[in-house]
Amino acid sequence: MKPGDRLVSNWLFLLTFMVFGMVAGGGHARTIGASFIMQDWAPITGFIPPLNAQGWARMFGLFQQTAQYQAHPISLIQFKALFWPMFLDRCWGRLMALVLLLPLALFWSRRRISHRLALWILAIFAAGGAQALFGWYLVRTGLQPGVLAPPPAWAAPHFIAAMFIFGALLWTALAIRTPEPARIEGAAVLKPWANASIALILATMSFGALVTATNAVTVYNSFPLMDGNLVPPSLLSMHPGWVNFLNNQATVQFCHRILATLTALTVLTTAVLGLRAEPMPPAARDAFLLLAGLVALQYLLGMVTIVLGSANLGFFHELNAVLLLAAAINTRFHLRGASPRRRVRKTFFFEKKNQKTFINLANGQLHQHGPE
Amino acid sequence: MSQAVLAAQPRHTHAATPENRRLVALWLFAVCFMIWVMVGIGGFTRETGSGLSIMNWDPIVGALPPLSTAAWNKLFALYQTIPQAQILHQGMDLAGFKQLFWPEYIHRLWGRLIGLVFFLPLIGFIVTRRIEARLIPWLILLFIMGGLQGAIGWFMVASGFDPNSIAVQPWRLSLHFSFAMLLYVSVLWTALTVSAPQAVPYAGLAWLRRWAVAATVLLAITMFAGTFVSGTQAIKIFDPAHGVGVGMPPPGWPDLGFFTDKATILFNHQALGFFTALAILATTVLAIRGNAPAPVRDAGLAIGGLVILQFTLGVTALVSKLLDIGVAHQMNAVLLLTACLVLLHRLRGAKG
Repeated sequence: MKPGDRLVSNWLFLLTFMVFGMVAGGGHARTIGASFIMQDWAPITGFIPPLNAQGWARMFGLFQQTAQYQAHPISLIQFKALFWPMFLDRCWGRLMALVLLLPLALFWSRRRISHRLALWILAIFAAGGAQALFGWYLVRTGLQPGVLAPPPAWAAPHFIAAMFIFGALLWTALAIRTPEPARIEGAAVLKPWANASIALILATMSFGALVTATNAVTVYNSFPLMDGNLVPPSLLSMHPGWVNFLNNQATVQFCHRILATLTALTVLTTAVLGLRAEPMPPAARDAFLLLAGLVALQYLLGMVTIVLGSANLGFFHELNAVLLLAAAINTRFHLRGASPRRRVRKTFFFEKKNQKTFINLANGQLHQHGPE
Repeated sequence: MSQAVLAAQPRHTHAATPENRRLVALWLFAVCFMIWVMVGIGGFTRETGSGLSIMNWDPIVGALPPLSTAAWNKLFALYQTIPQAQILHQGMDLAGFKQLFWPEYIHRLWGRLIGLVFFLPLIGFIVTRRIEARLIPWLILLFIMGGLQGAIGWFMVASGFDPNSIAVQPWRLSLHFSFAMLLYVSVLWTALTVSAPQAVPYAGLAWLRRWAVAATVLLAITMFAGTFVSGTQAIKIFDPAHGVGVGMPPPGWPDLGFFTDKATILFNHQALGFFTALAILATTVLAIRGNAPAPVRDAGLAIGGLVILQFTLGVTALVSKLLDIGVAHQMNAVLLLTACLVLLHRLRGAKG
């Protein structure tokens, strides 16, 4: 495998981008309320949509068994309008599988990629397959009585799992594009900051997914207070207590707000530290700049979303969160070659002997003197 | 060194020693800080609507608050004669009046204190010859301008006693704030120049200075527009459900009163704020990506960070209608202006 193989890295960047598209498609389907619309999963042949009235009747009939339909019956025409976005999202997933498997087979058989890398990409493929299966069970919850929308305990892990696949693909693509990390003297202190940024972004995104899943965007449409309170009174109104952190609109929105502020402060601090650090190669510096810009935009989008109570704007807030995560991963990637600052060795008057040794060491002559 | 030798030396060579410069700069920065606090107190006075609670202006004697019940009653009785008291505060008791009184009183007292903190060290520095001769007339002019600012404040307050008036006229409030900023910028620039008298001739950064100038001018215009938002308390008309104040020009714009129609005032400030934020962020990005030297880069980072905070505070003030956040927004605007001036000052020698 040749170092910095652009074809291979471009292929993986394409896959990363396709995961982003999948998030957009899935988020859109959820925003319009189409999550339960296809109560049918044929992994291979499912790319063929219903072709005749009989096919449509069968598909519609399956949806009619859901609690969502029984609570809010819709016509066949409305059903079709909801069907296509969900259908497209699933076809996009199948396309992703092809875009992963076919080039993989080609690159692997021609030894253009190492066994190690091929196995790693296969593992990512398996994770994608598991994610599809998980998604299918998520859709099946629509058949349970009283379940009108994807349950938070299902929807949020589905989203976060997608983020892990996204991150793994992005990191792999970046590592193939630039296999040799650029040495950055003294920037090692930034690594934990970048790691904390990524962890906090993921934690905030988890609660963001819960805000979406509980439709909490429709409540407490005020900022910075939540309807006049710093902490909403119904914070722990559900029993047992942990359920609040999944299903209570007030709790998940509160956690999302607090984590978002903490994340924004951490990410901005990381960016300022990175932008002031010297030396910093231009590519790494731009990574920090992008990170700062996206987190500021993200906070602003979040504020406007909650004040307007707009699920549509929340969708764009979600997409920008994925971009922000990508920027944070990119930043961390650029810090791979960061090393601790070299200590300036101080010598004291009583260290004359050591100083001599130190100078000899610097001249590479230590072996000539031997230990004294 | 004897007194005779000292006197024989040219004045400026003695005055401009590093220690003296540091001392003078420290004093001027302290004055800047006091003006910044004054902006906060003034904003709070505006927020609580207490600016009209003292009906007279005695520049010297007014430093004393009412000390007896009789004095309080006299002041309260005077207040009850003005339209604001009759329209807004029917049946207010003395305790309510005192609440109205204190912010305005502290605002005026702090102004007198700034005058003292400016004047006494100035005299001291002149007498001990610690200050460059060429600075003396300029600083005396600044002191006179400070007095003028007090007079403008009174000119503003007086407009609040007009018939049917419950607040001061917005354009006079704008004048008062704008003049405060003129003073602030003058003192700050002087302080910066005293602390760093040599302009660094950075090569190849004149383009960045042009960006910084444009961003600062836009910021000044946005702050000017902001004074009318504060003066009319225009954020009170924000109503997202009906699309009022959400960043769109109101129907009929721009033919409505530019400085009287609240929806127009709100939109103008928002639009200007948006473009100012873009210009400042562009300046930050260009400074960082243009490998500016560390002092310039850090000032560039400061304006970028403060403008993000400023935009966030502005949106928050609007959507929450919390006037406290409006005051924080106003104080942060002065910090942002400070950072812009520091950037400009560091770039003042930039060439090519």
